[in-house]
Amino acid sequence: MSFAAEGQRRAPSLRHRLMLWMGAGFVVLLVIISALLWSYARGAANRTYDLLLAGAALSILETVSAGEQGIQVDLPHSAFDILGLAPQDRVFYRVSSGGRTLTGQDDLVATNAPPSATPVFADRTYGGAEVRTVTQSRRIALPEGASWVTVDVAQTRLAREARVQSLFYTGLAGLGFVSFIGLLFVWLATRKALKPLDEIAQNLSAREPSDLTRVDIDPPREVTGLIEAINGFMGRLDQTRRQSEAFMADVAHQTRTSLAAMQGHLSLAADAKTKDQMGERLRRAEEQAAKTTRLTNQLLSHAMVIHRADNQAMQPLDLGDLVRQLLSEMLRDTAFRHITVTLEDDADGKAVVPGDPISLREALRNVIENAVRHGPRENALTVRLYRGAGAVVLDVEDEGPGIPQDQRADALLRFRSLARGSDGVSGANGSGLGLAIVKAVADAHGAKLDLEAGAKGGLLVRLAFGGTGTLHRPRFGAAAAVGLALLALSILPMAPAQAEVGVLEVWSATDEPAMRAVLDDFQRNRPAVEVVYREFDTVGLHEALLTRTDPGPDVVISSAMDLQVDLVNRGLASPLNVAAGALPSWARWRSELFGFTFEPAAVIYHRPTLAAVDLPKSRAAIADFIRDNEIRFNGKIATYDIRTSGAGYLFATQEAQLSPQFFRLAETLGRANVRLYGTSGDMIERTARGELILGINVIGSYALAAARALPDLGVYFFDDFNPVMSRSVFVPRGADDPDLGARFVQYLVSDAGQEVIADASGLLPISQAHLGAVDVGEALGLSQDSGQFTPIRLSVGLLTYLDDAKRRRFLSDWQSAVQD
Amino acid sequence: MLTPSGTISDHAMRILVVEDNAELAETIVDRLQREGHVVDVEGHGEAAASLLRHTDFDLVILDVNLPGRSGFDILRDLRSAGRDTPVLVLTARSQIDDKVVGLDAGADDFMVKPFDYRELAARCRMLGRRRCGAASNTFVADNLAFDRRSKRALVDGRDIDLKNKEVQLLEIFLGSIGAVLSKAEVADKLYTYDEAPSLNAVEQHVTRLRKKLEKTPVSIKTIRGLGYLAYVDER
Repeated sequence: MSFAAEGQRRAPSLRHRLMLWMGAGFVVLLVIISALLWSYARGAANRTYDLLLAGAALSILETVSAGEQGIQVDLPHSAFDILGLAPQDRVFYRVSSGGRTLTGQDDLVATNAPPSATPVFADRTYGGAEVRTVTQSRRIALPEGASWVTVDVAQTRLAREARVQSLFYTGLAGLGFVSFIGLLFVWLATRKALKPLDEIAQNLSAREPSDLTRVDIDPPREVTGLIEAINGFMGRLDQTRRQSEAFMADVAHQTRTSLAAMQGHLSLAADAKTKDQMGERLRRAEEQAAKTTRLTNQLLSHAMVIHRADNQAMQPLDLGDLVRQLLSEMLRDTAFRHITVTLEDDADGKAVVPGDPISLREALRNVIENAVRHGPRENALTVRLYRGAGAVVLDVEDEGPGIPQDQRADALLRFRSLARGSDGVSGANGSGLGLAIVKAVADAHGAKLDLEAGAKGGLLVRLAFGGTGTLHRPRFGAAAAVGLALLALSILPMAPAQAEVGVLEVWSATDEPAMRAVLDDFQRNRPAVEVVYREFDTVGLHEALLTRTDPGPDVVISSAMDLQVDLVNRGLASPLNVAAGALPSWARWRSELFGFTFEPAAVIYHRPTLAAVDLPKSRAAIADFIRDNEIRFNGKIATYDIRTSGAGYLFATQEAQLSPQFFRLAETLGRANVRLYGTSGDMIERTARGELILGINVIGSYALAAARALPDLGVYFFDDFNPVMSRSVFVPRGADDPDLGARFVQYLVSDAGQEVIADASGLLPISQAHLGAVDVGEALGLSQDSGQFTPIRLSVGLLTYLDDAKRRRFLSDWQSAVQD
Repeated sequence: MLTPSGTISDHAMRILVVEDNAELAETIVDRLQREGHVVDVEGHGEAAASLLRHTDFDLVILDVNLPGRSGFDILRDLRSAGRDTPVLVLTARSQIDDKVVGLDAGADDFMVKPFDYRELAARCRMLGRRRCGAASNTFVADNLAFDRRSKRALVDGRDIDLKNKEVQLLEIFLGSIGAVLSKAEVADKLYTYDEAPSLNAVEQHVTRLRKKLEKTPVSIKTIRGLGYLAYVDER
């Protein structure tokens, strides 16, 4: 029976429960494995990238040597190349001995541990960034004794984190897939395992209502209990059905008998001979009518409480109020005039129980009527309400004859009173249904009904609501299902409205005339944008940025790629959300630094002087060619003074890396009394005039542009290789108008910007589409892909030759070669 | 056994029986007429309502299930018209719910069909006594006579010396004779707003009053834990 059917929800299915629990299990497993996986991924990524760090540290240490001026460090290019394998990461290093910095960043002290030949790794913060450091030392024998030299190398963790995430998510995807398969099998297994239940359901639902025979299924062991319970239930149901059939028969019998008796008395009265006889018969008939009435009332009442038990929702009600109200009503009846009624309400207003008031009133009315009917005329009735042992207890005690202990259980059964009445003792007034009604109501309320002996020998009827020993506790509502709602909010980044007003401050190590066309074109569509262009030389620009105190520029442009990389490596640049798909990978670093031109080193010559000469087409051959024509070229060859020119130094260092003959060429040039210039413009101008007849490693873009106007100027590129530099641009952190700066960078690398660079700037565009179309005269066609143009990568590798010690050594070697 | 007698007819009432079952109505009418009351019968709800609007009865016996108009409707109309005619509602057991049980609809009493006719007659007399006393200012039950106006109670023609509070108490009990009054209700009616009502004092007053009414048919029954019930013992 369900007394709170309205409030109940369907219990979750076994399948759902299994899936839910297995799902929860998988989630727990996934969480645990994820934690392990994360730690594993971290370890693996660290191991991989620690190798790079260790390799870099080792290769630096290997170049440490004891020289005449003490400890010498010749920073190897390979160290930064190795570190460059994590292309997005910034790199810091320090070589020190006894706490004194030999080269690198002074403030980079990774560990205080005593020097050790074993690499020591650590995670820490440097310059506001999370870095991984390695510290390794080596003992160097010096004239004054052995000394430790320590190398600290620090690298930001971007590549590691990316690796960790890649490992982790790959692993997680695998796990997720496995979990999915697992859950699939749980689902299948559940379906399979629950099949017998479906069979049972079919068996039961296919039955006729009257078929209460045993379920004849050979069940799996786990549901044997269920089947037995069902069969047991069937048995009881069958018994109940028989009982209710018997009850119907009883009811029919009782009613007919009662009516027959009344009819009998009435017909006797009609046939009576005397008035006294008739009066007596009528009195009997009236008595019988009263009994029939009561029987009918009780039958209907019984049917009603049974019906309500099945169909009524319980509501909280105060038993105290209910009892007071019912007693007040019942006491109006003249039958109560001589009965002493006492109400002892000790529940203190806390007798609230869930219940159906109408059924409860009916039950209580029956208990009280029973007491009055079966007790003496001067009966005393005590109704007691109190709380005890977690229950609300209602006692009704009378001073009647009571029920002997051995008959109390029977008294709760239907028609028992009548059954006893058949022997003529006490059944005269009883319908035999009163206590059966009380019992039915008590059961429906999960209350315990006890019949006991009262203090004065009467019957004590005790109803305990909500106490222990309750069989069916009425339930209110259903357990609320716990659902997890995951709310995913995706907030689209809102692009700021195009600020078409503003001042773009450009700090640039590029001649303004070369950039003018580009700036003008940028402003053409942004008439309200004012451009402030400040020109620097490359080193000055680098210095200015390191020492600036005010916000400074919105964009920084320089041809000195190494110095630009150094600035970015120091964390001075802002990451930009720039679509730079047209840029080759070597021309971008960390989405902060972007190369936007393609400027190979070129050879220039004075066309009239060398018209008849077959100039060497390869870098390998040029040294021989000059040596063979030493007198002719004496004092007429020009190249960059790499001590003062950033571009020259860049070309020279790259060439030194690419070609073993670099210093041989330098010596040859020295013997030919090479003339050194700080800018390409000087060399171009003098060559065009014939003052010089050959210029090596001139910036190709300037040379090509000049050659178009100066017919005497010849320009060509070598067949084997030509270093290519790229003017690079970034938006510094703390810029006044970083959005405008970003838009300018975007413009520079866009197709429109590249077109202007190609057509009107005198610079060469980096975009292959525009680069291939540049008019190069008789020189080798420009190409990103031919292999003859070797671009200098924007990467930490450029830091090698910025190392002070390294630079000093390189310049001194070069100087001694060219000024020999 | 009750027989038509002079004492009863002293309290003869004009009663309206609203009942659509002719057989039942006839037996009720017969029983009440034999007790000396003047009885009208009406079987239709609308007609009964109209009759009640124009005629003043001492008591209405009202069935709930009526053609035309429900008994509750009629009762509600009667009360909202400000009429305090006592009404006894007849109902089938299945209709017992709080509306009737709490007498919220304005009924003074109710009985469940099938009922005992003697009990019906007794309840009618009880309701009649409340009404009668209020209307005529004189309550008479056998040897007890109480004049509301002069605040005098006579037993066997002799003035019993009632204190002020006892007179009030007697008035309260006679006004709701046959119904249970809780001690708190009695106290509320007995004491004015300014006086501090004391339940103990109520008890003492009741005890004294009961003693003074000992020889009369009026009894004040104490129902411990619930309150008091005053009734007229008609034997």
